[in-house]
Amino acid sequence: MSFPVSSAVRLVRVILFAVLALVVPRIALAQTVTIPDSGYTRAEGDGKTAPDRNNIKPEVITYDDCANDRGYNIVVNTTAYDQTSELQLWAGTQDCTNVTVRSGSTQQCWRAFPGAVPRVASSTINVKVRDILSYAKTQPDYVKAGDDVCAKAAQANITLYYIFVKGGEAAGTGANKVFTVDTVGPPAPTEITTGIGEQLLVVNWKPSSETTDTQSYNVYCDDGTLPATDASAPVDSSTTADAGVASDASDASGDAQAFAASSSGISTQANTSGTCSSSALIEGSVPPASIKPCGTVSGPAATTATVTDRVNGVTYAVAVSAVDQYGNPGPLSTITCATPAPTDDFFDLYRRSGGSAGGCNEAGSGSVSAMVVLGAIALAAFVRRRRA
Amino acid sequence: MRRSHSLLAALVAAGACLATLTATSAAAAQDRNRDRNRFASPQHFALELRFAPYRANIDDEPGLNGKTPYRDTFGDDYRLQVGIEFDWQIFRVPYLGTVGAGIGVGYTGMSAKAKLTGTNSDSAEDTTLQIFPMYAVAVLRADVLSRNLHIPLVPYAKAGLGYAPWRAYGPNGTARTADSVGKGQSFGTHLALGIALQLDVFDQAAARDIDEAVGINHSYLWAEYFMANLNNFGGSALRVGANTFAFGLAFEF
Repeated sequence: MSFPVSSAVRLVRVILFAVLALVVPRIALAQTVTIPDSGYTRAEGDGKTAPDRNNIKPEVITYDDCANDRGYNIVVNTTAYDQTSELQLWAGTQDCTNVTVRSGSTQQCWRAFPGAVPRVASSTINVKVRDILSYAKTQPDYVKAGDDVCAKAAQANITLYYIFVKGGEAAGTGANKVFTVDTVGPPAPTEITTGIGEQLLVVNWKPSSETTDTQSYNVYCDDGTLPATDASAPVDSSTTADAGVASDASDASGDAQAFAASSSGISTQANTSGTCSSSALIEGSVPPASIKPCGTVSGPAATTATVTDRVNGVTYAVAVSAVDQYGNPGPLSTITCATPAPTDDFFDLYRRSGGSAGGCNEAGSGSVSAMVVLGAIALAAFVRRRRA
Repeated sequence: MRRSHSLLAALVAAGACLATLTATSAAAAQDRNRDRNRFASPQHFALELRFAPYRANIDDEPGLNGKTPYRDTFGDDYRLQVGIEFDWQIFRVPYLGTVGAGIGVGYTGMSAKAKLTGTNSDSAEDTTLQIFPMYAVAVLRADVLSRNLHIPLVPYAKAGLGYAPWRAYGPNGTARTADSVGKGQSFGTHLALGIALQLDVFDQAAARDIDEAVGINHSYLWAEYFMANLNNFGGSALRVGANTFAFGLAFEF
């Protein structure tokens, strides 16, 4: 039996067509996701572009970002976005492409963006930093959905994964982005004392033990007019150092107590005076972003700050918070009371005693110049004699 | 009697010997000094590094009527004054020393806690007084002892005019009252008497080397008592002068 050449060629063509029919569509349908170089833009809570921060990279997430509900506007470019798959954003410190860390009892990653990225070639999505920090956790050690996740991650790297998910499995990934997360400030300074002066307060403290992370100190003053702090605001937590793992906020929030005390019962300097109350400053609580410090002093070893522009006779509740390299305030120190009062400096006392010197006579500068000229003449004479 | 005559003769003889030795030693010293002076570099200037415990005479102002705002604020403690004086030794009086003109500039400051008004309690607020004492003086340095008698002491005297700008500070900068600003300047007289120990005698070879190398003829440790009576010659002034001792190092070159 003979096998015609034309039939053989036809058979080869059929096989080739079958192979191409199987392979080519798969090549053509490979899904990709890319983020352009300028694809990440920090955004305020309303989605508008946030201003640049000094000396802090955009991919660093701070307490201030979280407290103000900031996020990132991300330009997502896709190709061959399969209609049967979803492009999802996951965040975590583990490899989130592994389905076992995305579900079940071993879940350690979380969805950083609700729903799927729109099926278009290029879209801009807004991802909240709160969602990057944690979202809808189910494990006991994780923050539960709805909990405040700010002030719970210290020095962590959290990776944002773009995963094409099909039937629960990862059908492609790419453009992963690592964020540095630090939303926990240094421990509170201790041994707070507050002295008084003419329209000023002088606050002293002992630096916190964690001085390597401390960059400055904020002083907060409440004359009773600051808005009350939510008692469920994040408080000092000692179990926040692990990446992405945060303690249960509900455990510690019970410690937060609005402060009301007289100076007799708290650590104060002898010249501290007055009784004060503050529903805004809560010992051990991170000060809300809405409360601005009345004084700031730089340096990890700083131990004192002078707060001016106070009102004599008004009693202030005063607390101090250490601030780290990313501007994260730590929990508030113990709270003291102080009431600025008039003082007599030396010149006050001198004038009141009958002294008559003083004024704004600038003649002295001329006399100083005369002395300088005299010195210059003497020096010139010296040089001349030496040369001779 | 004869014995007492012998004793007297012995004493006279011993005295004569001592006188001869002293004269010989002094002559030798003069010879050495002549040699030293002959080969020394020219000497026209002096420079003093000055340190003094300082307590201003502010409470002596008659207008204060015995009140003591300075002491009440800064206490009785002395503060350190540092300074420098530069002299031009214009001419030499034979067998006496040099006569010249000098100017000095110094600084001292004092800080304390301001008092709460109407109390004797300290506030947390600092109050500071800064003083820049200066003077222009005629200087007589009687170096005849060291030059001619090999005694390494140089008594000296200074007399002239003193001047000191000053400024008082509160927590917000220069202190102010309703009608005055806490700064000004005070004039007056400046007098000083002192004595300097010439250090050359401790290592004459080194002294010669220093002279040859950098032109410093002599170096001294000195101490003096000075009176800076800065009262604007009886006018209104913050009396920031002081009557006190000073000490330091000096170099002639």
